[in-house]
Amino acid sequence: MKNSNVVIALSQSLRAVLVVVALGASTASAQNIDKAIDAFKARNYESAAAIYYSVLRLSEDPGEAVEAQYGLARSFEKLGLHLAALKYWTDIAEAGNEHPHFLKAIEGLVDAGEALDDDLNMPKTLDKVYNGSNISTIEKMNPTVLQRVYFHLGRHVYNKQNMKEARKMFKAVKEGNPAYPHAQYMLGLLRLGVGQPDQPAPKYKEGIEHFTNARSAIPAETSDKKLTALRDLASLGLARLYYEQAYQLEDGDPKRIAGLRNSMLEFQRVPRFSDGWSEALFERAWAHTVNNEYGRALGALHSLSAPYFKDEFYPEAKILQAIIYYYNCQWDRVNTILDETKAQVEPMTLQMTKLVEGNLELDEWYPLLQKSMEQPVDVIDEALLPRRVAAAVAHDAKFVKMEAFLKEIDREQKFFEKNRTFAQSDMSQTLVEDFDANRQGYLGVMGKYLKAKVASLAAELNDISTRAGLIALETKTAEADWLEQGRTIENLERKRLPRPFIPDDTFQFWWFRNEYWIDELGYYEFTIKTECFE
Amino acid sequence: MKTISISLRALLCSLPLVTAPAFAQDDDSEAGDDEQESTEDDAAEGDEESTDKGAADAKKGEDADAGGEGSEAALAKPVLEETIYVVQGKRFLARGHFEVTPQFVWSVNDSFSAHTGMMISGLYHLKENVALELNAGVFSWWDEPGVSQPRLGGRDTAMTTELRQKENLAPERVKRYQFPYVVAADLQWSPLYGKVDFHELVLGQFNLYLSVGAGIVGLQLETLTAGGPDKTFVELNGPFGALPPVALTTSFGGGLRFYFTEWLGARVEVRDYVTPLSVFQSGENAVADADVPSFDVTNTVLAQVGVSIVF
Repeated sequence: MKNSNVVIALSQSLRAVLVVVALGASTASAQNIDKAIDAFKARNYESAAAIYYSVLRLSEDPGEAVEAQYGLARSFEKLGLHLAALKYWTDIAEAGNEHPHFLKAIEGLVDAGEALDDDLNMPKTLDKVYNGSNISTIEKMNPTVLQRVYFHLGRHVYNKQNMKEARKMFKAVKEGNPAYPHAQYMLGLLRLGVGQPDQPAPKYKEGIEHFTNARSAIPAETSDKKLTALRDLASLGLARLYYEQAYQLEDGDPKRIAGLRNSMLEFQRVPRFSDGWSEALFERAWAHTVNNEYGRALGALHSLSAPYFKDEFYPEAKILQAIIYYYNCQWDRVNTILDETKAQVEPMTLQMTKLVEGNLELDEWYPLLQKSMEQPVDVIDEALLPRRVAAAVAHDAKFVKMEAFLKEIDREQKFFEKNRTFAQSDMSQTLVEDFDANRQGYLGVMGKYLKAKVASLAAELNDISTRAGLIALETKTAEADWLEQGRTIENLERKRLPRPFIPDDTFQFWWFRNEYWIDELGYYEFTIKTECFE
Repeated sequence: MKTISISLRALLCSLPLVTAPAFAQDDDSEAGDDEQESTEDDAAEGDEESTDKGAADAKKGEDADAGGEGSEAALAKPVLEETIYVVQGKRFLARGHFEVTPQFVWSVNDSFSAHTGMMISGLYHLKENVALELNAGVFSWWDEPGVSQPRLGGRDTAMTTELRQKENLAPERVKRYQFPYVVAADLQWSPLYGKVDFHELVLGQFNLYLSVGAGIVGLQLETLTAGGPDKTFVELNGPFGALPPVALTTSFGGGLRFYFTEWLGARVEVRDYVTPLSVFQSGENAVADADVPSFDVTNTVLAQVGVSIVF
């Protein structure tokens, strides 16, 4: 939607320009299109783009205009101006299969959309175009491109909850196609019913198969960030799937133990220092807890408190810690953690709620986030977002995409402003104005998302406060029971406990002495002894 | 027996609900090392030391399990904070690997003779902390550059030279033996390991090792009449009359080995070569110009520094 605003606005301005041009055009030199073609062939794409644009404006010959439209898109593509290219590919694609470059435009659209990581506008355009007589034309495309089209169409209809059609589209992407791992991952989500309001029964077996296919299709040695991220998502997907499956089984069931073990192994397959690592650590802590491996669960959470993860925000980690100590009847530790959690979370919730309910304009949210990121961690400025919350939002996957898109608008706008060839053409002025207008509009779109995100985080923190209150209540009850039985509720006799098991001499161990070493993150283990009475 | 309240169970049950939407998340990622963690959950005892943070941070540990209940101070005082350990796979594994180390060696304890030379050692790591080593080294000296020729062997110390030239005295003959080469084998054991962080640039691991072994040293003995720029040596008989003159030696030593990468390291070592030596006046092994018989057990302590290549 956000991207489409940009493109629609650009399209409208182009049409406006074309109307003005049509009315005011005096001469449209046929020589110009030849000059543009020559410049393109000579790889002088800037000149080619400028001349094509001129032809598009001035030529009265429809044949020249469509050639110029195509040439312009190709020139922008060659210059790496994907947003500008996307606009012209969209125009051609929307013209339908009567346009002589319709199929090339579909391919260009997919290329530009993928380069921009645009999972909204490009699929939406494809969906708009994929109808009537266009379908039979599209289906005659190169199968490799066609399957990429199917993947994007599938994702579009998936988001629109048309799961039957989405499955059909994803299944049409065959092994070996660049979109295959992505399609398999989406099929995995689909089989598990993720994001489906009617929550169908998850099909675990198929889910495992699709996630495994997705991961296996990605070469081990790839350095493509999108592919490595997808591989990690597939590992996280498998880990969550195994966890959910195991969790439903009875405690002590061998299948439950095996499932939890598989889940932990999958969490560990998410590489250290990758973007998904903190998430894997946090969720692995849950799996260890359910498997009664409290020391390991606490160890995984301990890693998240290292300075390396200062921009990660897992307030729920405190709840899990409290639960673990509760299970081990260490009431003093439960109370300390809950007090700390409340002291941290409640002012944050208040601060965020005030901002959400305040009078900030939508386009003020992104600058607010940037200012919030610059503030010191320990400073509380009520006019800003808490630093940790700001960092968490700034790392949100969807926001990262939006910010990248905004930066691309800026980059391309600057290119048109600074480039000598373009600066002397009418195209530059028109496009710069369009980019500028759309930047402002896009800031509003980002603001809307940020506001919703902050509101959702505030609600999450509020929920955490509630859960902390529940655990506190249970702890007080347990403490009262103990006191009634004449037991001491504060254990001052704790000693340093033996180290955990070391598998063999390829492993080494150290005490943690309040100093985080980067290479140790993810390898912490607590030794915890239950203080419950038999 | 653990008691888990119903409401807490409900909190725990909420995990699938909490995590399920996360399936749809989509992040960028960087490749890195997979986590390695043990899969057992037994507890055992252990101990470990850590140095202070300085120019280089270092941590030391012990392979041997020893008393895991902490220090006496820790026992005396209630410990309220958690017991936290790091259990991690070693960054560089030595087991099953070969290691070749060219080393510069020099003697550090000689009163009458000194040795400087090069040594090459080849190790095979049987285990992470046990290795077999073969050493071969040569000692050489250039008595008077430009006048004499470089030669194999040791040299007189400044004290020996002074005694001979100013006092017209000489150390006991057996103490004048010098070694042109050494060939030895030994067994190494590393009781201590650690890791070190050099200004957060290089994270290496190290181990402290002890070694014990045996070998042979080549022998040379300067003639009593020597005095020119080119030294002359007594013709010594070797074993069985066919081998060059050698003596058996045993070695004891210890050192510190650093690994900076999987294939590159460095080591510093001190090793004592203990060699029984004799000068006979008569018999099969008689020394031609011996004035009186003499016997000695020589300790040649060598400092060795080298770069290790692991493969």
